[in-house]
Amino acid sequence: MRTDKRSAFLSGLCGVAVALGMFATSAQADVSTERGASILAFPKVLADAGSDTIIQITNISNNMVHADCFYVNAAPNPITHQPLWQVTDFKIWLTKQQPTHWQVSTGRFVNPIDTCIVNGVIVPSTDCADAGLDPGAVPPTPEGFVGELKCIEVDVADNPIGGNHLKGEALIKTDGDAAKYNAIGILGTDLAGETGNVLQLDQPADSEEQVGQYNACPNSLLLNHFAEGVTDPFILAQGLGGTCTGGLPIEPCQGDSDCPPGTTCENPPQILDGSGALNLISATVTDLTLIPCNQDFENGVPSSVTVQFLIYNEFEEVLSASKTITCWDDFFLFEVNSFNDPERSPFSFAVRGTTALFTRITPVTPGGDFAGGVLGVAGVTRADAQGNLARVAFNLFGEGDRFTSTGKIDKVTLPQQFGF
Amino acid sequence: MRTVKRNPFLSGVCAILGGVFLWAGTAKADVTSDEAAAILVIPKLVFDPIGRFSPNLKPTDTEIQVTNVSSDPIKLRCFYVNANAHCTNSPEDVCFATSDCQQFGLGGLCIDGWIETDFEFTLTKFQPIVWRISEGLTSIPLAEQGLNIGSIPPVGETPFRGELKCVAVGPDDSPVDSNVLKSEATIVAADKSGIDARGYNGIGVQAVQGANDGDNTLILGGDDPEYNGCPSVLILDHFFDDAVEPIDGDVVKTHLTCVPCSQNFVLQNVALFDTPLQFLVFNEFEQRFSASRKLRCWHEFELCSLDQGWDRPIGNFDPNFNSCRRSIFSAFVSGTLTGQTRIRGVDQDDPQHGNGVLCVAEEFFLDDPDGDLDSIHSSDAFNLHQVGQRVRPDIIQLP
Repeated sequence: MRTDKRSAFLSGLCGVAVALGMFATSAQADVSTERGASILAFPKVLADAGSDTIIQITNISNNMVHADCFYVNAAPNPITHQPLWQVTDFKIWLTKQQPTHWQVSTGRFVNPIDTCIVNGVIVPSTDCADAGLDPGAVPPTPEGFVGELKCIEVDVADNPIGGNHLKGEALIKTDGDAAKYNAIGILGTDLAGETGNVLQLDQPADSEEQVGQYNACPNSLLLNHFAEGVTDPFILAQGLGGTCTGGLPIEPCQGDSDCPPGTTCENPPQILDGSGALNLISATVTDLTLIPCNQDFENGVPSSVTVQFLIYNEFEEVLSASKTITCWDDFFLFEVNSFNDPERSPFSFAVRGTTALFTRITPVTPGGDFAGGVLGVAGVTRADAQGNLARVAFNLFGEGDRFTSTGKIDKVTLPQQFGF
Repeated sequence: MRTVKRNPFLSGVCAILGGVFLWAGTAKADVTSDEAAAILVIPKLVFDPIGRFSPNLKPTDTEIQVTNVSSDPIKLRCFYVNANAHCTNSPEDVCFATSDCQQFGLGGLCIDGWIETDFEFTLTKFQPIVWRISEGLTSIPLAEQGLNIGSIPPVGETPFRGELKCVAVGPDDSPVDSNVLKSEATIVAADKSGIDARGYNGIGVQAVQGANDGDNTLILGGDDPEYNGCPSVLILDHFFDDAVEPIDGDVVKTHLTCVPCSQNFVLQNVALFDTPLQFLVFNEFEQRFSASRKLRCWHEFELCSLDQGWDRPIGNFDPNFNSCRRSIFSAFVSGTLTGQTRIRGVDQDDPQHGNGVLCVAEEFFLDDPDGDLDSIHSSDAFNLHQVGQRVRPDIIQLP
């Protein structure tokens, strides 16, 4: 005979589960740079001359988590100058609450005996950077790698799931200078994986119910930035940018018009040198890295998205520009439409006349059945009169979602060999 | 003897309830650093014209960018919070630790400060602005055309460490539910030897549409929220202090700056919102440690001080100060390069307010292989991740 009695333990467990559920609030229905997610996108991963990247990923749950990861090498084809779009995949698995990391150029191989302990004492060094539970074999990237990394939470059988257990950061070091951003997380729902290896980003931002598999990409990206070519205000005030000739007192300037009659501005803002090569002097520039939300790793077909830029200055004046992103693109804002003459760009200080600009980035709705969303990060590089550089990375803000605004669905198509 | 058997019915109910609640919170009920909001929190500001108080010893200022992302004008009511600590025996002198005060006479104490300066201004549609906290803005762009009002003062003390908070308000200064503000802060350090910069997104607290009663008591979360609640737990992925990052062989130090979600700009009582912070620390071996430390109104913590309760005196560059390398946040103890720290403000059951916290992190990269702290050559900053939201509401009381 079955005995049906109330189990105090189970009741307690139920209460805890409900309480946990109440505070998991994991269905934040938009992409996020501050929540655990089921898909992590690192739009900007560099392992080329002068740059390297450290990826940090953490399992924020109390269960083991598996993920399939994809490097997308978007280094330019030496002949066509188009992105290679070469995909390399690997698997990682993390025990409960486990953080892990790896250096992109070297990867991280399974070595259970690597340790920082020398003669019984922990001694941190570059020789023991991989101490810890290895997340799996992470391959090094090819030389000259620039591109993205995407990791997708899966179960033990490689089926995509909407666990929302992953968070990540990328630290980019360029010539010793550090910049860091949070990975972009795409939250999954219970419906994640319903269509096998085709992951649909179709959960509306304002829906209280699970109607899609993964949160849809933002309808627009919002970027606050400095006008291209303006001298950073603090660098200018410190007299470390352009200065008027004529000795003391030091008078900061951004052009001859800022100087008294008979004097000129020495080391005024400069982005390119005479040959057209990048040569930052007393200038600030912003670079934008964008990737399409729609990706097909199965067929290796890169997606293209055209994005519109609406650029507002401090006087509420608006100009626009557009650019097509194929596979992956990292570009300075002035390059959108003034590749060789930054001072003519609608992003430039020379054209806009104010230090701060606000740009709304909205993909153009494409043909076909995909929504054409994009994800991205921004980088800001400041230079003083001596050409010293300081880099900062920022996550972009998002607004709305593509599925709601277009009715179309961005899809990430994984290779079939992952056991579907 | 008690009989404990699994009850399939109860298990089923439990699973359903768990599942339902797992997805119940689909409203965007959280603070955010990647969406526009009605309250902006910029936890870490620094102005230090001589560099004596800054980790990289360079003159330092903070540049703030704020934008109205909507097509309607908006008014902002903002508050600088001066969190400088001062010596009791030399009140004009800023200190980090009590030992900093002994030069002014034995027995001086370093006491936390919390002084707010409020100001307001308007922004027209889609208007971005930028200012340095050392200078402010005497006139908002488009003010001369009569489209904007207000100004932004410089911060009230040199040096300055503290916070900025801005609230979207209507023309009559009453808070409104307009989630239209976004912001970034960049801390720039520069002298003739070079420049350094680190930036992070301002944290936004989104208003609940239609819930704002327009009074000066802002309710964040809880049963009857006007704004989304503060996170239940903050998650920080970090390098352990003294870890050697493999790209350049730099030694890494991390600072964490936290502010309470609840603030009272009327009483300005620094002890009002004392909140114990609990830290759960996981290394890459899945080994867990924990620590706790009290947060009072605003604080910048060196990671390795979190389990030891001290603050580093001004000009102290010893990497093993106060046994820093015996901290659970040190790579000398953790044995791995990176870790995850979960941060939770412990609820104090105060009927007047909750105990949520908001934080940002900064990383400093040191040249010196011994980790001497005066060898910082680069830095970055980033926003923390978060989980859930607080049960009890946090309260911001405006004057």
